[in-house]
Amino acid sequence: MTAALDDYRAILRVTMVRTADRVIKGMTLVGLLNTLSLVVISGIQIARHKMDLALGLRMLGGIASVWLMLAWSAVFVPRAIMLHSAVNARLIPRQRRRLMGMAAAGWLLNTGLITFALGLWAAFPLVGTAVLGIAIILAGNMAGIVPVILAANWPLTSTLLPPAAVQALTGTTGLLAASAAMLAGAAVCMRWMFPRGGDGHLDRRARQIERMQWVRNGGNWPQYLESGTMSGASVLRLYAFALRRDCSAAQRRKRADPGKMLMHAFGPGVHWSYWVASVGVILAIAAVMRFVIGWRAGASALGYITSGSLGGMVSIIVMSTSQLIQAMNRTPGEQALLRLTPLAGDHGLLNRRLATQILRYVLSVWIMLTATILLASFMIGGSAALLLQAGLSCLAGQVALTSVLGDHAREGGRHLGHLLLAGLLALLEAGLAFGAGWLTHTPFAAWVIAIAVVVTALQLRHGWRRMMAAPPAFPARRLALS
Amino acid sequence: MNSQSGFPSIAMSSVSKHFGSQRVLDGLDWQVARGQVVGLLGRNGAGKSTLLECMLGLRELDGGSVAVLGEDAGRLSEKVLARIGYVPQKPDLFDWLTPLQMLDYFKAMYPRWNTGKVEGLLSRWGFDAAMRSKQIKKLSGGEQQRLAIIRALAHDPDLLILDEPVSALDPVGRREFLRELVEQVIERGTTVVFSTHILSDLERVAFDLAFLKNGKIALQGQTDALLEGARRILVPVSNLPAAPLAGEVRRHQDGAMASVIVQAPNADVERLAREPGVRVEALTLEDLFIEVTK
Repeated sequence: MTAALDDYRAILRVTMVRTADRVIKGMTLVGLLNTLSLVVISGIQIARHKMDLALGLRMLGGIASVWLMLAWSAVFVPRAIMLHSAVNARLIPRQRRRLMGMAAAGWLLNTGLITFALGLWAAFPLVGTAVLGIAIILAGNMAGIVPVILAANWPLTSTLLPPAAVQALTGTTGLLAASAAMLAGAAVCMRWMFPRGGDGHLDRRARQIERMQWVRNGGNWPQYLESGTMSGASVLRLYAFALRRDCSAAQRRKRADPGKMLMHAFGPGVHWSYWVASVGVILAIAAVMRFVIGWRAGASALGYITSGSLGGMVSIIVMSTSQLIQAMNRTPGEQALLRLTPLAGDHGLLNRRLATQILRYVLSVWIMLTATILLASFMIGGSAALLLQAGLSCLAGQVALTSVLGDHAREGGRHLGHLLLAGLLALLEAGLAFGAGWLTHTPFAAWVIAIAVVVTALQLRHGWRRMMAAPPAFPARRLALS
Repeated sequence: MNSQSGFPSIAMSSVSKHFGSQRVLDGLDWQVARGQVVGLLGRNGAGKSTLLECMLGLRELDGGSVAVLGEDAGRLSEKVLARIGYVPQKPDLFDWLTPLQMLDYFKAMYPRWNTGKVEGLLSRWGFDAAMRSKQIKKLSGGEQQRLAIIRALAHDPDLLILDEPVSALDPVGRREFLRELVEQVIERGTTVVFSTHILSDLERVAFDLAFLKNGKIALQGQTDALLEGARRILVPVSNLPAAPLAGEVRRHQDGAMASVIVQAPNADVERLAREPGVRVEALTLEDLFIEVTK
């Protein structure tokens, strides 16, 4: 027993404490502050008989589940898999068993807490499946997306099944069967996440770590496509064509377009060819939804999809510049080489050329994505919400364009702090737009568009001035280390 | 070779650079004459890469100044940039491209590009058709390093900065690189500064050596002169004068005996050598490296 406890303690120390001390401390602090404020507010409300004790407890459970979910999925699972190398799997006694036990316990606890917070025990198999899917994604297997999407979109998924099947699945026997199937699935997943070592483990290890890093980096898709996996090859072909065209144009004119050439330092993910592919994917999904799901599921499902797509649209636009920021911080070597080419020019010229190209790139991506998403919404029958979508797209664009211009030598693009401030600013703008719409009896969304466009323009002008006054942008973030 | 007229290729004066509280370069003075071939030596973490990056203006200085081919390193003109070649320590750059794409890309960036040389090097260094169309990230470390060297040599630079250019190459690859360096680069009067840990390569190529220690160039001289002249003197402490000997590089006491490293034989050494219990030894480059950088 003591030996087992020692093992668990050692694993926790390695996975949670030493490797992610700051992350865990930060999460714990935020969690405790949240808990404290919730306890105070709920205490007052319960004393005034305005809140049920059970609801208060469920809310506390919700906060605990968020903390546990983050700690387990974002810290423990990836670190445990890193620890479980093919060599360790064979040479360290008991480690595999302990890791599987701890991962499974974390999964069960998470599932239980989230279900308790939801107050809906019938959702237990769905929650468990979704949590398991997240762990699979974090373990570097994108197949985990399937259970997450199926479970998280149950209101939609259920419309695809015959009513009799839905009724059977939501009955007591059905729930027990689903829970048993989920447990069996979890056992298989745990064995996949922590293999026994040997050839298979050795063969997949490098690719798995690469994919885990990709997920940890916030889904830097370009990095993934650069490795030549999945549909990356066709995007790369398109990029290669564009690069060849830029180079041959340079040789014909005896002079390359400096801005265009500098942007190639960021790789194929920060290039129009990547977005052409993305636009194609978004429109294809919309077409599938319109003609397959729409046909089968009817108007209520289309309404669900339309409202769901608002969130998706905002996140796609907000994340559209994250690849630029990540590439900027990921390619200092490439940037150093370009800085030493005659084409880079002196430092003022380098920053001006780069700023012009970045501006052109981010604005065209923003416009292209907004147009695509509006078109996709129109295709799936969400035309009533188009103005609102355009407004949200402008707000999301304003957040996305935060710090794309600025002192890249020191900052290398935006940080979490910038993003939070931009988010707060967007909320403030939404509030202002709401007020203006209410006072003038005009659509809220029209005000959002106007305010967000003005704020974005001011923000970009400020960034441009900072960039012109800053040291050479390449290599980015070099002065942050000094 | 070392004393050509005009300004030096590189002139560093009182250069300081720190990262946080760590001082990496500390008032460093160094000059590299035109056509000079210098091997830069130092222990891991001594600051060789930082020195080379400061030299090229890739890092801002905390103090001092650097002039490259007569211009301030922080504000190099297009004309001077076109005359510089650089091989960074990490060769796996632009790894989403194929070798041919990467070379085409850089060709578009330079006003002068020696296509014949590039083709010759690719062929001689084993880049067959399949390898030329393979993603750089899928090449081995040695192949990536060769490619980085080809890229740096392709525009016939007048100043070539190499940061551990052969660390990933096998002995055959190193020998081929050194042959190329001597026949194609040094012979045309190119100034070369390269850092490496492989001392045997330096003996073959570098005409001058510079040792970096504690943020300064601790010792610099012609390779042959250093190897022929450097001596370790093992002397009883009682016989050793307190004042440093002429050309003394380092002094170390071990019990009753002291070990003194001098750059070249001189009157002090000859006088000491005649005293009883004193032994004078010649040094290999490895000995010299250890003694100077310890």
